[in-house]
Amino acid sequence: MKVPGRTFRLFVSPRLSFLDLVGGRVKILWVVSVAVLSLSLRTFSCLMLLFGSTLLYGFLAGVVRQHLIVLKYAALLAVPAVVLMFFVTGDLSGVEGIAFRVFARLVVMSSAGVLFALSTSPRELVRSLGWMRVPTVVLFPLTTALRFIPSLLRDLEEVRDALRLRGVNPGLYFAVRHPLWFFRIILVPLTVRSVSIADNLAAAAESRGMGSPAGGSVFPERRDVKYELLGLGAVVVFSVFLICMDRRLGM
Amino acid sequence: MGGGKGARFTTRDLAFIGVVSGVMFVSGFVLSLTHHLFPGGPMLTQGPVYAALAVIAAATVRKAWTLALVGAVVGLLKFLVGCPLFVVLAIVVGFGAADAYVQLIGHRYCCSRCLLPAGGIMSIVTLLVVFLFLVLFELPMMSVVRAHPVVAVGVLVGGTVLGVAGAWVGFRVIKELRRAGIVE
Repeated sequence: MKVPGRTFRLFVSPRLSFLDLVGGRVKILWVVSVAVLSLSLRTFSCLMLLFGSTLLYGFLAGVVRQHLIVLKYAALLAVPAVVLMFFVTGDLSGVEGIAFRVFARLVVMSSAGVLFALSTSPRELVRSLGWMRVPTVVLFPLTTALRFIPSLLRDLEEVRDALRLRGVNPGLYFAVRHPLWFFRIILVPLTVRSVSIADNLAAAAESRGMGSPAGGSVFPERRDVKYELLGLGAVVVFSVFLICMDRRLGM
Repeated sequence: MGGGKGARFTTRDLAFIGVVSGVMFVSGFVLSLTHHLFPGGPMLTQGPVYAALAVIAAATVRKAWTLALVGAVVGLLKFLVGCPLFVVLAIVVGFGAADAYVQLIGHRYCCSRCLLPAGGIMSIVTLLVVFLFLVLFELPMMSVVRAHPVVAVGVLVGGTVLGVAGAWVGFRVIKELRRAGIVE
């Protein structure tokens, strides 16, 4: 599936992979379990195993290259943090531990989310959250936000172009010199555009039956319970294994 | 949009909340680069932007629990692109607390008396939850706070002031839009 737009491709996997068969629900469960485990695991080897699971996920989803780019930027950001902590705390012995924890906890957690975003389409995400009984009042804004992001960037560029035509260059220098003006000249046209987009979206959604007592029209979902159970089992077994191993090594 | 405390969200309200959440998410994505630099860093940079946009969303929709809904959507968006779970929880709790304050004083996101404190409450509660997680899970930034506790106090005070300032900017934008007849 080829999708136009650089930003939009962040949220849509360009081709079908093994993880597409597993389904969004199992992927959400995996992201939640990685987030919880990355905070609760105490031993470094178990954290590394958890990180290994994110690498495996990236491989199965076919997004290894994008994952490596994310890791590269995370490492680049971790370096100034560690240097800053060394200067503030003055404790060189703790720097190694801090670097490990920055990498092991935050990067593992962030990797899981980024990989999930790279390998899940908005439609799959919304269906999975719907299955998890997330109310429409949260689901609809969420879908709107995901769909709106590419057009938002376009709108922002148009607002900036309009300002440049009027002799204002809304760059970083202008933002630092006149922060209040910067906010207002960007936010006012952006809000006006947002109101108009909301009107159009609402009209389109209501024409599909949203908000009516009969409910909206939906497309039938393709499900493969066998793969879902396989994925669910793998996540549960791996999580239990990590918790047991962490307790044993931590003793 | 509009319609009172007990009114339900219309499709237009939900679409507008979604659009504003998208704006918040994109701005947060850029500003969260300060995440690794100092404790509560993202909230100092994102706080005013979040407060301004949240105030715009709440004052446009003007229905009970709008801020909490914006917080839930932004939190969910952040979680799905890899933001640490404790930051997501902090955002949801912060927005919820700000909304609870507005409900408690019985306002409808109408004036500066409810919107400006809501911006401050949102920032300070979010920062407090982030610090709570730093302490509970011994996260890396904790070493900075332990070495210089004044950093934590400075971040809390600075974050709150910036939150109120952001809410004030949002309120000014809403006043302009009300005068132009775009928002009720």
